[in-house]
Amino acid sequence: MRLLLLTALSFLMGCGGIKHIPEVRSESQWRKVAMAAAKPVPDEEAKPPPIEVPFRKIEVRGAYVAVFDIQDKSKALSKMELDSLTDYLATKVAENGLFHVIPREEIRKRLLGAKKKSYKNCYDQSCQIEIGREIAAQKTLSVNIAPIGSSCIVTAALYDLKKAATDATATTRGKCGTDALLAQIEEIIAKFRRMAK
Amino acid sequence: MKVGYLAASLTLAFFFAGCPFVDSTLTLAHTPVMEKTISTAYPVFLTRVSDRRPDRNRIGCKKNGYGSESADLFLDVKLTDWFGGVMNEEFRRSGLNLAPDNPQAALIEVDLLDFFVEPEINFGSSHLYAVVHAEVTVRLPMGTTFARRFAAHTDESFMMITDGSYTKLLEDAMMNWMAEAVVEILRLLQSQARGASAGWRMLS
Repeated sequence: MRLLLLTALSFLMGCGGIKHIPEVRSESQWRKVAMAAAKPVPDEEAKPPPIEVPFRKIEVRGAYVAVFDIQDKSKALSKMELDSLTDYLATKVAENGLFHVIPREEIRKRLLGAKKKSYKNCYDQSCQIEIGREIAAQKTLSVNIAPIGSSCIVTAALYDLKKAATDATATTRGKCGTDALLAQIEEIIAKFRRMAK
Repeated sequence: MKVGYLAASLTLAFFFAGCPFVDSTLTLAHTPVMEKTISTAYPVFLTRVSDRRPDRNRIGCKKNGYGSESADLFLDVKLTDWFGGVMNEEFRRSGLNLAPDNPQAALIEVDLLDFFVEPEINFGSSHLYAVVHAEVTVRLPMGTTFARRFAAHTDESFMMITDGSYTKLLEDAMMNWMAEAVVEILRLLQSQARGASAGWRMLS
């Protein structure tokens, strides 16, 4: 009987629901406030916030990275454009020693050796991890273009093969044209550059 | 004696079943929501983001199988810096001109009131809730000041909660908050620039 009571009490403990999420809603309109109503703020909060989104600095500079083909779910780019864009990405991330990029030819050889259906099919993470390990890369870089409404979202993930976890991700959003996607890829590279220690 | 150990072990196992004891530090990525929507590049300047949350040390908590808090969630960078950086990025993308030295710039201040993610544990499933709640103050160069609170909630069920689940919920809440707040700031600037209060009720 005592055990039953204890069990019931334990379960009831889990029925506390949420405690820190307040029932707040957006105000429907702006209210005019008097200038004198400016709130006092501590000194450390009185300074303006950074212009750019701050990143946690990570130890990725100089890592050996396998750059895989960009996956274009939007179908906005031709095969040739996609290939050129991947080449551009691989070249740009190697600039100023950000990453050591393993030649794409090396990845291609491994994929053909592994009798994958085609070089283009290595989009899923398990395939990229397998190939990355075979070519002794430290990290893999995969980039994905996905259409959302009239926009295209470009996401990039830098995966650490040793830690078996994603080191860093970067996302941008813009139009789906070739030039706009090129600009988004450059933005992604700039984000990784800012993250690198 | 052995029975005592067994009973103690069973009790511990019962009470701490599935307990996430380890604190986590989350890295939030923000997917921009704004696209250039205005033709006039109004000068704006985000002067400060202040942290007025009731609990400033953490951005969320983990709970055990019985709904009691068992670990904390932290952000890898200073929350006010991250929030300000994201807001500046959205301002830039929407076509506003970030002009710190322009005396004609509308000065924008943010007071962060809530930024939290929390699970609700039920039998067989877990539900995550996140909130981003902040007050925006816009000081226009002509001397008028407006304020408005914006809140964005997200919630989702998960079979198993990972750090990625907390991250996703907070990122989605942040996107929703930005989508509402930045659009309303733009509307306010446009309506004020037109010299009309179109749709804005002024309270004193």
